[in-house]
Formats: sequence, structure tokens, C-alpha cells
Amino acid sequence: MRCDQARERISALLDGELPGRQREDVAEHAETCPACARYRDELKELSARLAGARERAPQRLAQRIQASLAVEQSPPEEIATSRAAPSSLSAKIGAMIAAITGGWASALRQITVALVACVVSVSATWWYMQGVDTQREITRDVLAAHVRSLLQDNIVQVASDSSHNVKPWFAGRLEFTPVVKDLSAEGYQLVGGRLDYIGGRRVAALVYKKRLHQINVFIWPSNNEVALKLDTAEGYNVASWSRGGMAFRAISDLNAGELRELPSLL
Amino acid sequence: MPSPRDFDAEALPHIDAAYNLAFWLVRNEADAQDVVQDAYLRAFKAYGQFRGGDIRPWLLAIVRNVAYRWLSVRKRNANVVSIEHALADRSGSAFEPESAEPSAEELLISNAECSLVRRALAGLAPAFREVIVLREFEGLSYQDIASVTGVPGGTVMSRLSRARTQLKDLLTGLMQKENKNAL
Repeated sequence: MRCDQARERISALLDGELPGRQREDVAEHAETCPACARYRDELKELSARLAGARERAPQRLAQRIQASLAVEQSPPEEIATSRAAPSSLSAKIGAMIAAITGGWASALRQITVALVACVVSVSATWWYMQGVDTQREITRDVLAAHVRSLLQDNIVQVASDSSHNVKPWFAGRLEFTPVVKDLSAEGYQLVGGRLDYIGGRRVAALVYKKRLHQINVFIWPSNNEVALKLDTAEGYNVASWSRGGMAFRAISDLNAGELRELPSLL
Repeated sequence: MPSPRDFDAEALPHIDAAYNLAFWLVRNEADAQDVVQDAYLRAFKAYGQFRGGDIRPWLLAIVRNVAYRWLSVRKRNANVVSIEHALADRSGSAFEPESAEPSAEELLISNAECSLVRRALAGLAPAFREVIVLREFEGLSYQDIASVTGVPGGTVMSRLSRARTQLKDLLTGLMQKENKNAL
């Protein structure tokens, strides 16, 4: 056997991956040829040195994965409970009134309570669903805009990591001035801004990056003051909040815990 | 039909193997963690397609796919040229995209132990690095390496042989340089 043929197979010989006949040939060659024997020993030494370089997963990672798998495994009803809130609330009120009046109450009284509960429930649900529809439409638009931006190479119309360049760019393009902050110290790198279209109106879209995660923040004027809320849409985390007459939506594949801190920074 | 609980029990013990492969492909701890988490979620959703047997090759193939996708995203994001950068080095090659790979200096700082063999391994091309990782760290058979990387078994043998030779030479070079500095 020639040296070059043997060399190619010595690594497989050490791995025990050579078929019987070849194994004998290569092993024999490595015994008789000093150069190939040295090569074999060097490879053995290399394996020994590599043994210490294996990375071990940080302990938190297993917990993080278990937590995210648990979310994945939980039935969807649990996530959707908030939507059923108005009807269950009115049912509770009904039950409470029924409990107070119960015992000695006549059948008529009970029917009245049931009717009142029904009316409250229906109107509350109707009022709530009006809001839910708009919210759903906005969430759908936000999701679509985010995914679209991920599909494109040019995610911004003005690329800059300075708020002093991005903020003036919106002037004249929008009838309001969005908040643009440089959050690089907090680990959110400003990539730039662009215009987008959410809920039937032009909005400001800011793009931040945290590690490899892209975050789209959409801003538009709104008189509805809402508290910070976290949802998921198609696996993306969406944070919605409002401040100073502006509505904000932030969407990203960044984990919910980190996305939650963004509103306090912006 | 495997249940979700089976997945936890079967896949979670291999988290070190998954993280190790991810780390050596994306070469950054935070990104490697994200890659592993993403890969586990994908694996969980695709668990119905797992045909049984040793789960490692199947799981590591998913980790590898996610890691390579992240590398390509990292490269694409590095192509966004900001106004500041463009203005700052207009005299030079203004629109040269930043390299997606961390520089040699960054690697030096990030590797706390900085051992020579780690630096040598980091210097290999990804296709070589991954076969070394799968064989030397995880002890996968050639057949399993072939199924993780999607290349024929014969190619695994020659690629691993070339990767080892190259790694050995890189290491020898680094050791000589180190000795020279020590003198």
C-alpha cells in the first residue's frame, strides 16, 4: 500500500470505521512506515487534546427550553381565556346576586336575574368584540408587516444607528413625530426606520436589533390609553402599549421576557 | 404516536451535544443558546416524523440547519450599511459589508481559556469544523455524521481525514508562534 492511500485511511482506522481487509492493510502499513506511524500518533494526540474543548450547555438553557416546550404543549384554551372574560364576569355577578337573593327567592325573581345577566353579558360581549375585531386587524397587520420585513433585504428606508438621523427623516412623511431613541446601551441596536401601513393608516416603523433578533416597533397616534399587554401571533411575541397619545406595537421572535422590557426603555 | 413527554425525556439529555454543535458553528454563546432553543422547538413540532432509534442524528441535523440559517441571516444583516458608516469611511471602501464572522481578535477575547486547540478549531472551514465536532466531541459513527450533514458516507471519511490533517497543521502553526512569542 502506498503512503498517500494509507494516509487517507488512517483517520478512519483510528475511528474503527474501516472494513476488515482494509483495516489490516492500513494498520500493517502504519506499523512498517515510520512517517505514517508518526502521522497516526499525531492524530491520536490531536484527539486527546480536543477532548477538553467540548462545550457544555449552560444550565439555564435546559430550563429555558423546558419552559418554552411547556408553553408549546399547553392547550390553546388557556391562552384564550382572557377573551371569555366579559361573559364569565357577568355570569359571576348573576351567580352572586342569585346567591344573595337565593333560598327564599321566587321563581320570578330568579328569571329576572337571569335575564339581566344575559343582557349584561350580550352587550358586554358585543362591546368587547368590537374592540377585539379592531385589535385583531391591527395584530394581523403588524404580523404581516413584520414578516414582510424579514423577507426583504432592505428592511429600512433610512439606515442609521443614530436617532438624530432617523427622527427627522419621518418629518414631512407623517403627520406626527414618532419617538426615536438610541438604545444601544441597553443592547437594542437601532437599524433604521421606514413607513408602514397598519390598521388603515400610515405609521412609523422603527427597526431594532437585539443579538440576531429583529424587532419592528410600530408607532401611531391614538387616544386610547392601554396598559402593556403581551400576545403571541404565529409564534412571534407582540407587545402593545400606549403612552403620550401614541400607540405602540413591538413584534419580534425575541423572547417575551426581554421584549417586555422594551416599553420601559422607549 | 410519540407523546410530548417522550420528546422531553428523549431530547433533553442531548442538550450538551446540541449546544456544542451550535456553538462551534455560530461561535458565540448567546447565539448558540438561541439556536438550540429554536432547534428544540422545531424538533418538538416535527417529532411525529421521527422514525425512532437514536434521536441524536435527527436532533443534531435540525440544530445544524437552524445554525446555518442563523449564519446566513447574520451575514445578510451585516449588509445593511448605515449612513454613519458610509460617511465615516467614504474615502475607503465605503460599501464593503462587515464580515459576518467574528474577527480573530474578538475570538481571542471571547475564548476565556483561549486554548490553542480551540483557536485552531475555530480556524477551520465550517464543513470541516462540523465533522470534527460530530466525531471527536460527540463520537457519532460515520453513518450518523453522513445523515446529520447530508453527505455520502465516503465523503465523511475523506472530509474527516482532511479536516484532521488541516487542524493538526493549524495547531502546529499556532504552537510554533506561541513558542516564538514566549522566547
